[in-house]
Amino acid sequence: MARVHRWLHGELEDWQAEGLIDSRQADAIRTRYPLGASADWGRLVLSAIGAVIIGLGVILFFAYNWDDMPRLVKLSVIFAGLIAAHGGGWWAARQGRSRSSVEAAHLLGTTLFGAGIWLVSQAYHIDPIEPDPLLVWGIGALATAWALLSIPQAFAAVGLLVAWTLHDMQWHSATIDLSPSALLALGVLPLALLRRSKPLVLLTTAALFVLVPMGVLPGIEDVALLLIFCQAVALVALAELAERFGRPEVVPIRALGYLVYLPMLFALTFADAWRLVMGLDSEPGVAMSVTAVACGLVGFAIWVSRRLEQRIALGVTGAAVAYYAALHLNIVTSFDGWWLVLPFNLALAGHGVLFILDGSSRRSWPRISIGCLVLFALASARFVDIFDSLLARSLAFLIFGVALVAVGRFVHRHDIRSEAAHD
Amino acid sequence: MIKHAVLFVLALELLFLGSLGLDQEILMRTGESVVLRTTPVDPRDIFRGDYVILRYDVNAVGAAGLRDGLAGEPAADGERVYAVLEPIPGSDDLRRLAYVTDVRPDEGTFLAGRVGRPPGWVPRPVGGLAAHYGIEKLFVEQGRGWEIEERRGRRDGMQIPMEVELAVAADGDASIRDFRWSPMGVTLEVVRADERPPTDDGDGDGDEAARAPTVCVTLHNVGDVPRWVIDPGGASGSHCSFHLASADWGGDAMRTATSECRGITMDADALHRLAPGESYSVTLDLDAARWDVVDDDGVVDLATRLAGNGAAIRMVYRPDPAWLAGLDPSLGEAIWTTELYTPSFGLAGRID
Repeated sequence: MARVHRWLHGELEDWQAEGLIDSRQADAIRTRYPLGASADWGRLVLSAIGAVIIGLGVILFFAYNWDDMPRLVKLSVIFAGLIAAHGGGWWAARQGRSRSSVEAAHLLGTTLFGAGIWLVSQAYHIDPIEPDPLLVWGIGALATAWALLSIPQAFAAVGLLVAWTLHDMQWHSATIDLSPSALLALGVLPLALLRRSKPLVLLTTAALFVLVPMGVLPGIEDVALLLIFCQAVALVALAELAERFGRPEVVPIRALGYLVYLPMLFALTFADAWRLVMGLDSEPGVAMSVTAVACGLVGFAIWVSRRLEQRIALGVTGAAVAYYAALHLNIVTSFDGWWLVLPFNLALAGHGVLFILDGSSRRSWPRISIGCLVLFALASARFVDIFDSLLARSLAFLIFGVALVAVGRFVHRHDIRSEAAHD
Repeated sequence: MIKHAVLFVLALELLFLGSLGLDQEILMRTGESVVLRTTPVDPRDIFRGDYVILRYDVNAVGAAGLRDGLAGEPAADGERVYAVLEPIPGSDDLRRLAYVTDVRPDEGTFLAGRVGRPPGWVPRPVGGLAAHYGIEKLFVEQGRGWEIEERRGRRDGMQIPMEVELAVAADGDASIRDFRWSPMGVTLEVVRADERPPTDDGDGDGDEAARAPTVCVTLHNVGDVPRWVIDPGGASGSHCSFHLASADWGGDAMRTATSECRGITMDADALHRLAPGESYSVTLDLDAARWDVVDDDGVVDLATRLAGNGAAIRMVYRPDPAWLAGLDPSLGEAIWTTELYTPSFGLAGRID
């Protein structure tokens, strides 16, 4: 929104020069659409990174483990540093200092907390440290994030908790563990929504996207790809829902969803790949459960979507997934031929067209480019493998090409009629 | 409200760090002092960054060293275990592993640990277990780690055990207080080894047995004062202070069938004075009858015993405390009476 306001303010001078509006009208517009206080993001980011690097320097200093410094002196220094950093941030906030100074001080404090954990373990030769130091450090950052309602602290918490998960997985990869995901979902996501922070929502969602499959993988390796597919559909659906309810900070997760959904859909257009992705060789109970979830999520995405074209594309995907659910239940037993993957081809083509049309109406070249890429990839893949008969293949391409031209003309006429009706 | 909240978080962080450190500080000040000797280095010890990996006899325990629920049943990773310690004869403060149990002892000195590989690489003995006790990492100033590695030695050179002082709590938790170096080092050299496995030469006489290696064990005085080592039977080649031991820790030393050392008395030739920097070497032909071992099947030569189960062994210098009775009391602590282990080696003479 701020970007739009900046554009508007930039246009006002030209409009005045061209005589479209007078100075009084220009002032009224500026008042109605203010620029708002400058976030000074550059200073905040540099201060935050600088504080973290100072903290890392402190960690390295104590990692040197200078023998001449008594243990209690080392501990006293770190304790004093921790109090000074957080205390300094608290004092700066009370004095009304800039947000960047306050955040930098508290980030330094969080980094020193981590340094303190490592230093105590080093001073007393503790190994292993229990509970896991990365977990404790991450929880400390999360607690500080909530205490300050701070986005930078939340970023630090996400990074530390992801690092903890990856580190912990080395020793416990055989057990199902969703605690890291729960910590992020219940600890960080609410803060991101409260602060309406797009970057934090996106980062946390991306982290969850990776951690959830990792957490359940020991139990359901064979349907891992299907689980990831479900997650991607869920993100698309949630983004649609967020847009409906006026939560623009959540909408960017749609891009993450499509980033995974489209390539997987593309994979499902290949007859050889669908068996792998859909987990048909896995234990029936597990595969059926996950397939049912996939169907449910696609249905949910269809329900929340407001655009007919998107509903159609998702609907075709849902029908295909439901078909595979029927395969698991042995309701359908035959699964040979292109008719199995045809729905996925149609769904992918539909999404490609949708992106082009949507991009065209919004004047969004990235969307148009994605749509073109999808259709190009689909056409390239099918040019060599759809139908054994070259005659049938030729017919399919002719029909598809004509359909695309027809859709373009139909939409163009529909837009002209809509503009005329508006006028 | 936000301003108070961040102070509350700060207080919690200080409390966590304080409790982490306080626990250890109390243990350091009030825990029972126990000294454990590190085991011989194998090539898989890794010095990483700013800490030295320590290995003790309690870390890799053979089947003979397991008791109660651990005997005969494989232990699960993460299971709680207790390493019971016993004094090493001839030493005031050194301890060694007596056995490992899953039942917490009611008395005595023991270390509480968990089943699982300690830092670095430790082979799990066949039928035994690997465990860690939180005392396997010694954090040192940058650069000192290499000094310690060098002094501790390598498999084909002189090895000097570190003697690590621990603070041990009543519940078995332990923390490293300090360390010192053993005043005696040891070197193992394989003089001759038969690398051929036992084969059937087709002449109907059965398998052609392999030979046990001939090794040279050297004891070095790396301290500042003269020391004496005891080795009766040196002139006859019996070298009664040297014994065979399984490469796996725990359990008793391997029994030999020889009677050469039974009832042997100390004479002038049995005592060897080593000035600082001096060494005492013995060459041991392990294929000789002197080293035939006694096991459940009776008396077998060492080569047959090692070939049968592919086991590795160690040599250990361990004089009989009874020999001290006839010695000059003024020598006192200058006589080296505590045990000293070599690295392990196999039938083919490969040192681990």
